[in-house]
Amino acid sequence: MSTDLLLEVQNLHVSLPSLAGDVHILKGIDLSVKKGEAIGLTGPSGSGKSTLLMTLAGLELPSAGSVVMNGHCLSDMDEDALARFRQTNIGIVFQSFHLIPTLTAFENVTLPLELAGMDKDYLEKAETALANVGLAHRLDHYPGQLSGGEQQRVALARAVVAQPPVLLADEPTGNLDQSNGSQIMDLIFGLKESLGVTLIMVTHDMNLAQRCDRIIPLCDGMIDAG
Amino acid sequence: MPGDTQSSGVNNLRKPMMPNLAVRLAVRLAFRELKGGIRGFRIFLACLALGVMAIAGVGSLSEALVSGLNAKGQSILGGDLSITMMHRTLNAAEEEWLQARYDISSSNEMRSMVRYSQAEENAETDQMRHALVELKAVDSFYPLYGTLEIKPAIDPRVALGVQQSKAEDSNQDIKYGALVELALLETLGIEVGDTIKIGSGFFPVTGVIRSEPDRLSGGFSIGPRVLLSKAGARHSGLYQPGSFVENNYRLRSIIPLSESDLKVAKVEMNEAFPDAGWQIKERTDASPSLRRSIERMAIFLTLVGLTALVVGGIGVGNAVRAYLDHRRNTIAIIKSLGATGALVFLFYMLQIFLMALLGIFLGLALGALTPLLANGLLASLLPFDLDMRLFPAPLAAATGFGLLTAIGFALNPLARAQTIPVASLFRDSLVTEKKSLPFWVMGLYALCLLGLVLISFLVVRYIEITLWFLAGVTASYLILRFAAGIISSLARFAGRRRKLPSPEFRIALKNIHRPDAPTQAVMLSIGLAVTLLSVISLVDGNLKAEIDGDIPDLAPSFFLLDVQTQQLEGVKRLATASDGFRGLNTSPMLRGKLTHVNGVPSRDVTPAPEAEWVLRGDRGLTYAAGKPEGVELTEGEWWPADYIGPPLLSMDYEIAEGLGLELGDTVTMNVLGRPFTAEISNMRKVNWESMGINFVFLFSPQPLASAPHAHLMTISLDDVESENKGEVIPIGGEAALRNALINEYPNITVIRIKESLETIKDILDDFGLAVRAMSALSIITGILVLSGAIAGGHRKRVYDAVMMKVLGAERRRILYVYLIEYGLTGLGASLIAAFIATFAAWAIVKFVLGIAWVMLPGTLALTIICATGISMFLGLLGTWRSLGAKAAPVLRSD
Repeated sequence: MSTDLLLEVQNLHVSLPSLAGDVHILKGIDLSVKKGEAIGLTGPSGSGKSTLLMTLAGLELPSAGSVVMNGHCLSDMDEDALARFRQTNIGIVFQSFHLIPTLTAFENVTLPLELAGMDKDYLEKAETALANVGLAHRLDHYPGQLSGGEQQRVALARAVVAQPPVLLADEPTGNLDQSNGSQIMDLIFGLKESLGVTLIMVTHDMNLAQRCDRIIPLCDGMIDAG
Repeated sequence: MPGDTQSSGVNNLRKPMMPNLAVRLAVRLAFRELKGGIRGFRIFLACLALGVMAIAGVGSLSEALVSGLNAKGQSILGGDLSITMMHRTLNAAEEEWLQARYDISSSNEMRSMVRYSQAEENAETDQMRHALVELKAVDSFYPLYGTLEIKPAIDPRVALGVQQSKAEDSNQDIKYGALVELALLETLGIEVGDTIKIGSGFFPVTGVIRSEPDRLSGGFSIGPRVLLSKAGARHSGLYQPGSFVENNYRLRSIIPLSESDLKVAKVEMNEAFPDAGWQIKERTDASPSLRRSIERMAIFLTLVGLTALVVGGIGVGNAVRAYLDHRRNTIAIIKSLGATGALVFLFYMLQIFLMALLGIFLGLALGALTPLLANGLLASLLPFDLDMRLFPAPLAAATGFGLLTAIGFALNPLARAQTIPVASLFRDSLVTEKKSLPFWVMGLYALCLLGLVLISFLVVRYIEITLWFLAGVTASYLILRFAAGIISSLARFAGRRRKLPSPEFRIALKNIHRPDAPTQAVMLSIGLAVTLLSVISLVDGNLKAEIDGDIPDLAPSFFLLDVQTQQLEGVKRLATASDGFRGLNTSPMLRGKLTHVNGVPSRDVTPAPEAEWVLRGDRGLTYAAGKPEGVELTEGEWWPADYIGPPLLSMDYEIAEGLGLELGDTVTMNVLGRPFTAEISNMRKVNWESMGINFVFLFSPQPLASAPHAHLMTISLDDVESENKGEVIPIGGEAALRNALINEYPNITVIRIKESLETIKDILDDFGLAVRAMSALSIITGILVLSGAIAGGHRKRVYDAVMMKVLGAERRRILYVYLIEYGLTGLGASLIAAFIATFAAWAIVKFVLGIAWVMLPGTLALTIICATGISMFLGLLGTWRSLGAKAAPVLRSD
């Protein structure tokens, strides 16, 4: 693996069990991503984009093949080791925001830092992260008291607050209107530039995908070479 | 019932739906919805069934016992009727009158000492073994009903008769046989064929009593039974003037008597001999003391079972709330189609009602089976079979309790459901408007509570106990509910702090006050169950502490019965010469029956419950000229030491109050078949816990001093004990004095107080075990409630666990969150419960039992630790599955 290579996926297969038998979702994906690169994963529904992103996050286990991120082979790790790896290496933004409803915006953002044992300056870091997404005035609001756009901004602050080298985004604007969606995308690309993170983003929207350095189209569980 | 004018559709603008149409529609919809199965009602059904089972089971068992007892009343009583007299036997007129109507079998019962030494007749040594026994001398007609079973299976008359062969061999006095219970053989370490000494007579043990048909008709037993023939008993020399002998006559009617005939016969006997002073029992209530014990135990256990049902009610409420939460959209949709709030209420109330009936049916079925299960367990202990019929009264009471509890706890969620606005179809389900409950719901609550009070009263029959119990449970419920709110607010306040020991702590605190948190369920279910268990443990502990603590220090070493006047000096000499002698007390004693209170026959007097016992059977009486040492008068003056005049009475002020008596009132006693009336001259305070000589009735000397009587004596020594094979035995002065008394005064019964206290402790242990077993049902129900609440929040737990994993938390850290959450809530619940229990137990100990309160921190600490542990364990068990949940499916489904 070359020194500027952050992620290497080789012959990745993912099958999921179903009542009708195993469903083969990813069928031999090979992929390399350099540090600081922005990748747009596109493709029709059911093409395996989200499953690929989940596998890269260590939230889905490969049936075959390997995922090596930052020199660590994810498929060799158990569930807890993967959780520890995510603490400092991966930030994730979901289409449905997935904030913890019982925690305030501020507490949602401090949580990754606290889990990673960063007990120094973590309060300031969380405040800065929220200020960076324009929510300095919403620190003590619960997710239920925030609009969809605001919730996604909290989710973005939470994803980057521990300054992970990789930011994974699963259709981050899918649940937002156009105006909020474009604000979020500006924030994501702005943070990518300022923090130097590697961005891998699933999107249906070709306009958004065009903002990435590279587009990888998926079709029926494989990279569409055509 | 008002409709919901805000959210209903077209119907409310037109004529309201006819009530019968609404009901028919609600019934149709309810049945259709229930076709989906009972999945969401499992905890509901289990909670209700357990509580109903407890109440139905206790009631059915109690009825089966009492009915079985009555069915075998003839052999348990030993006759159709029985007469009990103290000190005296039937006079000629009485005997003649009775013999014209009945076959008669007579027996005498007394407590006595039995001694054994291998040296037999030369056994005036210290090595003698002795035991306190219940002695019964029977005539040749015994038993009139039932069979006396003995081993070896020989004719009891032969076994109790003159033992010819041995008498010839030993060249001694004639010997009569004795039949004994196995326990005596074990206590004395003897076998059939060995000779025991009773009084001054020797008796070869000729057999072991396997079944004595009328054993239960007596009262509290303090030792194993020994049967002698009447001739044998006379041979023992135990019958002295004034000896504490109970003479019993079993009567078998020459013509069959129905239940009403028995009552008439009893009245005839009392009318023929109004001054007989006898106590008559009928075969329909052969063992009133056992019946009363069964009924009291049943009342107590029913109340404990009712607590289990209340705990279950919390589960019922939670289950209904969860069920309606799942039906939120359905409710909004049917309201959007024009259903009124009232129809929604009716529709779901019907479903809850049907489910409640199913749960109650399950509980009733299990409860009704209880006598069947108990029969096997009790077969070896009881001389009668349980009545295996279905008893409608306890089943009806359990049904009433179950229905009212289910409806009562379902009312709140049902009332809230009918106010769900149609707009909730488009709104987040977490956003709920908190409105106060409508007036008619409050009315229904009041009706449920009133119904519970009414049924409780019908079952318990003591209004004061019922009200105190229900007030206690209601207060505990409200306090715990309030405490749940406080804990939730505290958690909210603490969770807002920016700096906390760990993120797990923050999430745990946030979980405690989230809208659907199981905090209230933990507080109420664990709290109520722990309160009940703690109250029982603390009261039990205090009773035992009283027995272990002050009583042994204050109580004398020995109680001596049947000391004859001429023996008093000798016994005193022996006692004062003993090592460690501290003091003695003596008092004349007779037995008499209270026949009239202020001229009113005692059967027509309605006493307070605490004074009832004084009117039952014979009571101990004494007399004194001067005021005895230590007597504390509460009212009136003591009579002059040389008083001569009409009988005067000094009476226990609490009993007098219970009988409604005041100074100057009169009581009539029957002693030795002669009535005499005394005027109450003063009231005394009697310290029953002192275990000394205490009498409710203390008379001026005449006429009792002229009647033949014996004396009671207490002797106090500094005691030294040693433990041998687990049995605590006296050594030193106590042992020497006991041996000397038994050897020199064989007619005197020597009771060692500490041994009696051990017996009382054993009884308390047995009682405590039964009550604890019953209260364990509350714990089981509490666990069910908590499991239901945890299961209800499972989906949210899985989501939380997944999000924590996504953000980098290992499984142990997620586990830690649950440990903190359930640990804190469980600890809060048990601390509040311990506080309530301490207060309730203090009140019972202080005001009901009237003994000194002892704080038992060990018992409380153990209960708190166990309850917190149970809460943490259940929390972990319930959330364990969420730890293993895969992240991707959860994230995808959202």
